[in-house]
Amino acid sequence: MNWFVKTCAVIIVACSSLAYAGEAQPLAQDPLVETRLNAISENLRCLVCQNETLAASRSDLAEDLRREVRHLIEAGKSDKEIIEFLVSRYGDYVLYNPPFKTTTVLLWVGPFVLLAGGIIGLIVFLRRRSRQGLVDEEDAEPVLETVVVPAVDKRPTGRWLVLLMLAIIPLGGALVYLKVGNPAALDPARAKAGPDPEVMVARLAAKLEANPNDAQGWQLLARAYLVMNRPADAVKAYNRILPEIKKNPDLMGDYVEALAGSGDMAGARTWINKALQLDAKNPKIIFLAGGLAFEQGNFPEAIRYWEKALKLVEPNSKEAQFIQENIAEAKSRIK
Amino acid sequence: MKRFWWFLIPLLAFAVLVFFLARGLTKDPGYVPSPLVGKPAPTFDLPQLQNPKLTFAPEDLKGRVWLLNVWASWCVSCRAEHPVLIDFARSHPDIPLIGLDYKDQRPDALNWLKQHGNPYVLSAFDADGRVGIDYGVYGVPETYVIDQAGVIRYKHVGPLTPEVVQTLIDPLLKGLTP
Repeated sequence: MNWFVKTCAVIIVACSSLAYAGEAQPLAQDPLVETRLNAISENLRCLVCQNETLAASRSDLAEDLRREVRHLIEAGKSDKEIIEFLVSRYGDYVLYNPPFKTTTVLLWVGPFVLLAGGIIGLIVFLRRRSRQGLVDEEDAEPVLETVVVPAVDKRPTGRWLVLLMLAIIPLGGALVYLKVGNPAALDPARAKAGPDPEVMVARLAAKLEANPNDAQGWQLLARAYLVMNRPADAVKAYNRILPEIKKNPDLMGDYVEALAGSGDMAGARTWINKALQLDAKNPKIIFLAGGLAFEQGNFPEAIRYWEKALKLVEPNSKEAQFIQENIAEAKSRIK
Repeated sequence: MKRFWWFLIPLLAFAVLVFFLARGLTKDPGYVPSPLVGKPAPTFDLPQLQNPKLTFAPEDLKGRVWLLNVWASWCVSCRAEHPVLIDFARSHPDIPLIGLDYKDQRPDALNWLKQHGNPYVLSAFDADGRVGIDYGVYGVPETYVIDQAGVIRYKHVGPLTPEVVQTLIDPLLKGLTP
């Protein structure tokens, strides 16, 4: 089995810290955190520019709040806890979907009460009109007479009209809701399950097709594909930002990983050499070079690379342990 | 005649609608009611602006009624509010006025106080705005009245004006201090 496919997710997790050992890890590097952040902040209001979501706003406060939400996600808080954190500070106002409670009853129930009232009013009105047409035709006012008379002639139509309206209004409402609403939200089990990474990634991909110059977006999408074990899609995403990749050895490393994972070993080798020329001291790239050598069956070479990488990471760290495991594996293959 | 009353119903409904819409127009859409009023003031421990070696925590003022005013040197409305705070500090020597310098640069903030006068007993320095988030700050300036038990009794968003001090803060302070 392909070494890259096997260790792909591990590489991503281990290497994102490998590559940035020594400096603060940029927060945008973990695509799953980013997708969750997006899903959460999509439903929160930016308090400065109130018609924008927290996800869309570029205001300073929105950025601070996104940073805060990111910290909470990384601290392992659930979506519910994160939303509670914000509500306890800013009130229900931060929610685009206000919760159902005593102060919001009118908001939630009002439209239905109005609708019911309207229907009842309509029934009463139509009934009365048809009855009047029968009984007190003579004392109806002349102006209303003209309205009343047709009802007398075709009395059954009035009833049918009511029934038709009664059927059409809720049916129409339901159809419109299915078309423009979010029926999945009605199911509490599904609503609670949180954002589906597949859906989030698909949404990100669609956004990028509309706005293809967003290099950071492509980078994020590609990393998400790598985590989801879709290296071929990751390669496609990376291909959109080749000029960026050429300047950035870390990105090159990711690209190599995607190429190798999708089976393009020749491409991976070309790019790893470019990356080594650009930054010979980057532990992630050296580690990947070892992976490529391992993949070719050149175990001594792999061990050489990995031992070099081992010197560049912090001793006894998770990364170091992971590299040592790989070295041990390569050594066992030589024997 | 009875029919006539029926026609009044839509008219009445319309009047109710107009009433609520008209009321809505008089409200400030930027005002966000704070869930923190009536709750203990969030705790923090921040370095002081003038003396970074010293810190300030709300617990330091337990047992006293005090004001926390969120400000910043980059905040234009704070400049408008400033004379009101200077007046307040002068006329309320028994109420500590504490500043929370929000997302500011230390030299800028110190310069600002030098230029405009310093109404604060001290200012806590919230460089990255995290304490601001705990206090639900979304627009500087904001002012909190905190009682002896450390509970937030009132939050004012936007610059304090002499009217706000006279009609809202003074009566509240009178009620809180024996």
